[in-house]
Amino acid sequence: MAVNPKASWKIVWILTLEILLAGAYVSLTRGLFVIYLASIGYNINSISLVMFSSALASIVFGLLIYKHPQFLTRRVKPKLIAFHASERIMWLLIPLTRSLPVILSLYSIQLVSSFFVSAFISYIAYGSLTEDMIRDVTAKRSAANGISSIIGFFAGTLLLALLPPEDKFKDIFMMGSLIGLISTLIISTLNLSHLEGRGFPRVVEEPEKIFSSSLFSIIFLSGSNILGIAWAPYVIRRLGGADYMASLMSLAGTISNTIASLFWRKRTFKALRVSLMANALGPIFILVTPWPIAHTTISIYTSFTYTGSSFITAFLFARYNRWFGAVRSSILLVLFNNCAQMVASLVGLFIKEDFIAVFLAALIAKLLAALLVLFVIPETAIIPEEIARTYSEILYNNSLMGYQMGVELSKETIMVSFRFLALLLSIMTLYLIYYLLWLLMSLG
Amino acid sequence: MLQEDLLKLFGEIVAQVFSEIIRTLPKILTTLIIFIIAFVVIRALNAFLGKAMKIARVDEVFTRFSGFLLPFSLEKFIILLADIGIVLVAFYAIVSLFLEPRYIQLINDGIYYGARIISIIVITLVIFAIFNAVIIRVKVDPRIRVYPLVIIMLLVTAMLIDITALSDEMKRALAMGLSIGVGVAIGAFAVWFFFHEYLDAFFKAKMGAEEKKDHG
Repeated sequence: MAVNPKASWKIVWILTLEILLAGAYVSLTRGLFVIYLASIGYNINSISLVMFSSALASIVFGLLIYKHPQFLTRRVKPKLIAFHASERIMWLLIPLTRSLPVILSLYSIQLVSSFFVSAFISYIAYGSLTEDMIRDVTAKRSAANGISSIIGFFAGTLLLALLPPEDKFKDIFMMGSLIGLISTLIISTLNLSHLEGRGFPRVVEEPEKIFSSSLFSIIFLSGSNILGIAWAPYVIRRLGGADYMASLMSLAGTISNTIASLFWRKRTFKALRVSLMANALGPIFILVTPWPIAHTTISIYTSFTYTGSSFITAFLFARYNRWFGAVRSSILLVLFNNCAQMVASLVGLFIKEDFIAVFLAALIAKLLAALLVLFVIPETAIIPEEIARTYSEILYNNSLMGYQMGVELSKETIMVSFRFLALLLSIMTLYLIYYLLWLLMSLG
Repeated sequence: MLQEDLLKLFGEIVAQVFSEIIRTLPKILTTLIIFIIAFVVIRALNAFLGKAMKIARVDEVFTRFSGFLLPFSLEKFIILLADIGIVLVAFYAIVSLFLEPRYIQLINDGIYYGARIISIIVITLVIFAIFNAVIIRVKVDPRIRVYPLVIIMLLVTAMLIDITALSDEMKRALAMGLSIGVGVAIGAFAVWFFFHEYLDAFFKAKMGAEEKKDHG
């Protein structure tokens, strides 16, 4: 599966260089998107609608691609470059309009393209590299992303402060877009011929492992996203922190993430388990700390432990790569993020400003994720592997049965409704015909 | 002279015929248009109702609910009803163009009569379907199963009498007789149903006393 070592290292460094520029591009574009929407007069409902609809669009495409994974394995390089470039070009078009449907459409195209780019990049990594190199490239990309995000963050803040207000977002988005297009040029130098027409296993050997890892990933990422939505507003509104606290916490977290990527990259699953347990305590620390400035320290702590925890999924799928296939792994890894974002935004919509409920939700999610890691996923469990495998199979079979029953019931209900509707339409047609006849006879 | 008169007469006849045709031409054209529209509507309706019936699976549901199979397809019957409706509408529209109101009244009466026949068929089917649906789901004595069937047959007979060509007095007399018969039958059934145990015991005791008297 892996290419020769020299080509592998080239892939690792090109992917790292790509994210080094892409991180800045994201900070200057997607990172400022909500601020841009607020600046052109969008309220919270409109912003939430744009975010939710776009996330939903990318999930729908993700599921379609999962059903037809051969899309990723044919004409890999042209498709990668096309999606990579179109994602960046959208940011040239977004600031040209203020219309909600147009912005929604453009942002959806941008997110869907971004989904495909992430899927292709994962496919390149999982399809070309050994397990150790996958760990290495994941850590390097995470660290490079952190560095370039910091640079992009500073650049964005400076430009927002210095540029004239009329066209500043147009200029910033254009700059971000151009930096992003340079990363497209870098990625186009890759030789991806070894990935063309790559087959993938038709039958999944151990579906319960995939199920447990996927469940862990979605629950863990949802918990982290819920925390991410509520934390800064909590510090500023509830604890009375200054406005710059949000930026400071974000900056501290990004720096911590960069260092953490290099720290956790060669650790065993046992060590990553510890990072997950430590990360689960984050919501508790947030709730019991009344001083706003102390939350910067908590942000450093949670980012450090979050990085290690998030590597669990990537490293697990690197291990499953042989029998699960690079194609499906790459699609799933990107889908998890999107699903988690959607779950978090739904929770945010329902719970709104009840910070205690939000942090409790995040805590429960992280503890559930920790339970899965400790008792269900065989590679990371503290119990013997056979017992963990049994728990994994029980969880998978019960969920599958519940899902199948749910699908059958829903199908049956929908079919009965359709049949009833069809009968009703037929009877109404008959009634209309004979009512017309009766009218004619009455008039005659 | 005679020839000239004949030619003149012939010319007048032809002119009259043509003027009649020209007077009637709009109606003829309207009739043609009605035919075409009715034909197109019937084709479209058949396609639409055919698909709707396929989804609704009326025959299957009816058989499952009532427990018996009809000698004809209910789905085709519904489509036939729709076609008949369109044909009647077209026919009525055409007839209104050409005929006087007294003849249209006759046609109205005919249509009402046809509607009564169809309604009796539908009501009979519904009553039998409900009856059968209850009977197959409830454990009952075979004698009790036949009894309601007899009452239903009497009621259907009463409905059928209404559409016959008998005189009104005869229809009233027959309907009265049937109603009394149904009432007496239901009353007798009710008495037996609620009091049969008491009646059985009463007659058994009476017969026992009479036997003792005979032997004694």
